[in-house]
Amino acid sequence: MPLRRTTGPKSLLLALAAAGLAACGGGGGGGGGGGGSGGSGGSGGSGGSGGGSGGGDVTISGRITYDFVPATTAGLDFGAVESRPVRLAKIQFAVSAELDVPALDEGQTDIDGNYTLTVPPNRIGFIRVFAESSATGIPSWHFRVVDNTDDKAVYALVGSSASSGSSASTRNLHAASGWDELSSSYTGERAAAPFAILDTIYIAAQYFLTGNEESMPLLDINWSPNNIGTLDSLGRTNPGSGEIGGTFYAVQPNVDEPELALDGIYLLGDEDADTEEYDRHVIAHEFAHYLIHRFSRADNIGGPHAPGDRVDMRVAFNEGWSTGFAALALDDPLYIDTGPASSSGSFWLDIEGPPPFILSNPWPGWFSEESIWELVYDIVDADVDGNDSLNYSFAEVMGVMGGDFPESRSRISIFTFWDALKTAFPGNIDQLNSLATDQSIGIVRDEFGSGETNDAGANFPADVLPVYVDIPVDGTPVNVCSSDEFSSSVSGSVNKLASRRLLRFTPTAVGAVAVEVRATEIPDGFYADPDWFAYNGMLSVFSTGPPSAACMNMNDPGDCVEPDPSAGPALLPVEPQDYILEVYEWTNTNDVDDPEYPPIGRTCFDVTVTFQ
Amino acid sequence: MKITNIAFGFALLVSTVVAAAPDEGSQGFIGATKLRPPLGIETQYDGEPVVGQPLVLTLTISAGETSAATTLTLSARGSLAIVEPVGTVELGTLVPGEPVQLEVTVIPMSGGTSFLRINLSADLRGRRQATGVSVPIRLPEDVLRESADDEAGKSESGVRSLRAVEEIR
Repeated sequence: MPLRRTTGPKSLLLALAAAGLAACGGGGGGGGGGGGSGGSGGSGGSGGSGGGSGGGDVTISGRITYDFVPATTAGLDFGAVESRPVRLAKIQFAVSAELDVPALDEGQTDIDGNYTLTVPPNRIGFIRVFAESSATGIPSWHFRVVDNTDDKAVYALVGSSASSGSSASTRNLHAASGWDELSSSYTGERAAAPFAILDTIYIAAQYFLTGNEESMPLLDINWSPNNIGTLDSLGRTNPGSGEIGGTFYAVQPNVDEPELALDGIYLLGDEDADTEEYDRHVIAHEFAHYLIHRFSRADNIGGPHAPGDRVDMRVAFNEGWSTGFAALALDDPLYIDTGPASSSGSFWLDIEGPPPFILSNPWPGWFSEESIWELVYDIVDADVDGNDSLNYSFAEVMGVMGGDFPESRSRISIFTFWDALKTAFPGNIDQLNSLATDQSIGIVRDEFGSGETNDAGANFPADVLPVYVDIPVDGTPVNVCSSDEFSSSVSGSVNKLASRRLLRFTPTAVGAVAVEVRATEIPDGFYADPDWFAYNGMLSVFSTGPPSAACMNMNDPGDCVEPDPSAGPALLPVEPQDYILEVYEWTNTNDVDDPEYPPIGRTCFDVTVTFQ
Repeated sequence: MKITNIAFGFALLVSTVVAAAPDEGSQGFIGATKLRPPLGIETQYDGEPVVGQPLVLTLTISAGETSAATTLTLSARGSLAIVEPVGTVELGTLVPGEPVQLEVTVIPMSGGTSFLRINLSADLRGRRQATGVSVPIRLPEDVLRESADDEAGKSESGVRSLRAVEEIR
């Protein structure tokens, strides 16, 4: 066995794991029409950022459109391209390619892509339309499609330079896909892509804002033809090079390597393998992660996931909710993720459940994102089928996800959500129970999943149930295990069910507790690296250092304790309320193909919580 | 954030931030990746690619669910010649836990980065599904993707200009 990781301080740290709203006023833009939910304003313009409009000003108007390429189960259908309006996008009559040179007028397209700008006569300039939309007031938003391989430059469609003339004129601009049917490849600039992305974001945002008068903080959608599904040569997600490893939403500052910081949605653009610009469900799914992050709370631990996986319930909820949102926002239950631009196939699925001739979810339950997306879809969609008779507005759903929801003492899962729904809609308890039962989820009694009986078919059911193991605060040890049983050869093990075990303790007074995790059972030939987090609602304290010398000498498992007792006890300040402990064997949260530390398998620990 | 307790050398930092009013600069969101098909492709090759020299890649194809009529198609982008296999490879039925391996021989024809494109199709739960990945073949001196290094294609003013099809009246 090689030496284990030795980096990282052996310390007890507390990190903020909160999520919520960070208001950010609209920026850019200015100008006329379109602000507000539904954006039905007239042609934008004349909100101007400079230029000195005089008495002899002339108007330049027109329409901005882009190539919309339908995503189908047989791939992108370039034979059915539609010209669609660029809606509520920032537009200028510019005189220079440099952004710091003021435009002669600036505004916003309306919801039909129309615009009108007023500029001095006989001035040479060009129309520039940004893949950027903003609105001020309430609701407000600010979305930009940027090139992460070009210092986050905002994409803009530009026309040719020409005189504004002495009378009104028209300039219509169109963003083409760049696709060449003859060669079945992109031979031109993919100008339509950023505007297709912006339009999907617009649709999803308007869906969210219907009934939710919110201020939406800045969201950058990072897209580039250079964005590929592999990591850089150092194994890093490298936004600057486009080696992003996949499509995702993340907000992760990086003080040490700021060029690797992540902030926003990152979309693949690799025409050879996977392009996302026309995959509306994929974009809306990632947008949903942004919504949960900014307007509710996300406890998602990240990591890859695929249909059929039995995953950590926090992943199942966050991912399933986001997929359900995408189908609702787009009013289309068919999730389609196209691959290479020239492919005749796609990865696709029906959110509302399989028709009779299709095999169903092999593992429905609280750990299945498929179950979650179907539940989220069913409580909102207008269809009545089986037990699906509920028809909440999305504003009602977000109402449940807001309020006190982010302060839940449990880790956010379907139990938290369903319990909140039942509290908010006591008249629908029977329907909610039936829907959950359809997904092999027991009657939700509380946010902790008390009484749940679906063990996911685990070899050791006690590794899965109860969802939260109660532990007293008097120092009595409770034995729990961390397993790699649900690892997937496709999506790995980092976020799978039972690799992390959750415990709940409830002090009865203000004070402090000491937490200790001691190995009791380790697979032959290995040594353990126990780690743990303690959650105080949105806050977390963790003890995740490398294994101590006592762990690595592999004599008595009981010598292996986290944190290392030689450094003193780990004390947590507490109040009389529920706290959650998350305990795991570190390797069981690694990739199955981790070259140094793959999962070692079922490893058990005595956990103690002792009130001081 | 404020320090509220120092206990036995462990710094306990406790935030006073409340729900729905986070400190923007102090929090993150762990990357939430998109749903992937229950088909996996991993590639591996030993040594460094050399112009004109055959390079053998080992492809490992795995299934998270039973995948029938699985086919794999290879193609290249950039200066890369595929020696074998050529065309579509029939992999049959894949079952979870039993990945199959395939050796692919390519020859980088010039410097820079080229890409091996791998497309996979299979019947999953009765539906034809497809997915793909492109594997960069980097020559030793090339660290980042060539096109991303192309400064000539980059903006100088914070805007990435795209040429419109324009009608002026």
